[in-house]
Amino acid sequence: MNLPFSTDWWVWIAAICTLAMFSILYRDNPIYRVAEHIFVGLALGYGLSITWHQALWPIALRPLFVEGQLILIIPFCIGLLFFTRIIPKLSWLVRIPIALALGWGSGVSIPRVFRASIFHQMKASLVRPEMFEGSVWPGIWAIILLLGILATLSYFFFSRKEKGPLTPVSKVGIVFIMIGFGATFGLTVMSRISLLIGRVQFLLRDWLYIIPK
Amino acid sequence: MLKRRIPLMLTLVLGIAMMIQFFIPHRYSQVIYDTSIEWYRIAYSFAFILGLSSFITHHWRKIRHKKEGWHYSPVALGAMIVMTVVGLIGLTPGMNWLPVNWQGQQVSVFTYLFRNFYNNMMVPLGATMFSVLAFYIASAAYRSFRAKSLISILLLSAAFVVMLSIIFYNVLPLGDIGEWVLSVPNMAAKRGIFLGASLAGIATSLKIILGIERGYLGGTK
Repeated sequence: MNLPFSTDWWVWIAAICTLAMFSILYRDNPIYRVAEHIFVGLALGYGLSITWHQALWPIALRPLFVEGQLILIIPFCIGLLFFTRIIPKLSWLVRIPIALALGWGSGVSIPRVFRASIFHQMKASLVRPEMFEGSVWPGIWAIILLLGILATLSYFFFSRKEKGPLTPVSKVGIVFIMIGFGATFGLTVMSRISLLIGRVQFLLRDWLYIIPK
Repeated sequence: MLKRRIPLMLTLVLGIAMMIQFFIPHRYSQVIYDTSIEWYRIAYSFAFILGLSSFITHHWRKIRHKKEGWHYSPVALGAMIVMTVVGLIGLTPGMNWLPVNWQGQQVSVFTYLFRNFYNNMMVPLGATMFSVLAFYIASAAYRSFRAKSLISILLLSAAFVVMLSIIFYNVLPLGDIGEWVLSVPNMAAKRGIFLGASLAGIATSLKIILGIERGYLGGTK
């Protein structure tokens, strides 16, 4: 018998989850709160399973306890220091893994950020003669791009009081910034709308068969 | 005193060592970098477990003291425990306990449950939660966007052009105008902000390494 809706009970569960989340549009209610707590619990359980199978077991516990790579005791002990915050007398030791993470992260990021986010971005913003070959427009857009970047940077230049030639330049900067914020807003709205279309499509197509597959 | 000095020294030494490592194009230098990444992953997976223990303690206290909304805590804890159990067992390579049919292949019931909890619960719940934001963004925009000055008109126009260009992508010249807005004025603003943020990030990293920024140490003892 062909029923006008899905008979797969996992599709029903997905549909109920979707409707429970949408119920917040009416007002805060227990069904939404249950769905929200299920999501948090599932996400944490998922994270723990992935952490175990991709980090803790294959690169820490198995090499250390099964393969006997004793050097791994060092990161293992650093990790265990996180739990000293439970013991009031030793709680200051939790600063050590945090300090190591910040020191390592800062040291690793400084030269790499310089290369990827400063030099490469500056290089990509330069106006080159070949941009004018064929059509003149790519070159003109590149000039506008470069001027826009300089104007935007001048708007955020707070080391000197804004007066003299800096004032009109930073006013041009705010024009670019506002267009940038507007475009970002438009993109964000559209990404949320596409998610919404996806959920409505699921309900009407996969669950209720109103839209043909 | 040592309780603050030791972490500061570790940050300084490790920060400078990792900066120097970047400029040494030698095989051993790369080995040190790769090993440090692996050690970082090992050590900081414990931080995740610590976060998890905080989550359990928080909800356990809520249930014990019957705080407001405590009825939802068993739901969160239950979902977490069930997903953890099916994930830990179901993702084990070669796991074939209690085999069931899933999309034409034989998998363990734990793997089957893990995949279905993910595909039919986590994904719909997460996608719907973020799709609901479409309504809130639209309502907030309706209440706050007012074309009162030139720059607010620019912001509104850019947003409309980008949205319309996505909807009517094939209707010329809307698609082209939208692409131009994204790749020229929008890119200029983004790149300017990105350059500034990167410089600020480098300055903050230097402050951390040199011990000027020490908020992460917490308290004063």
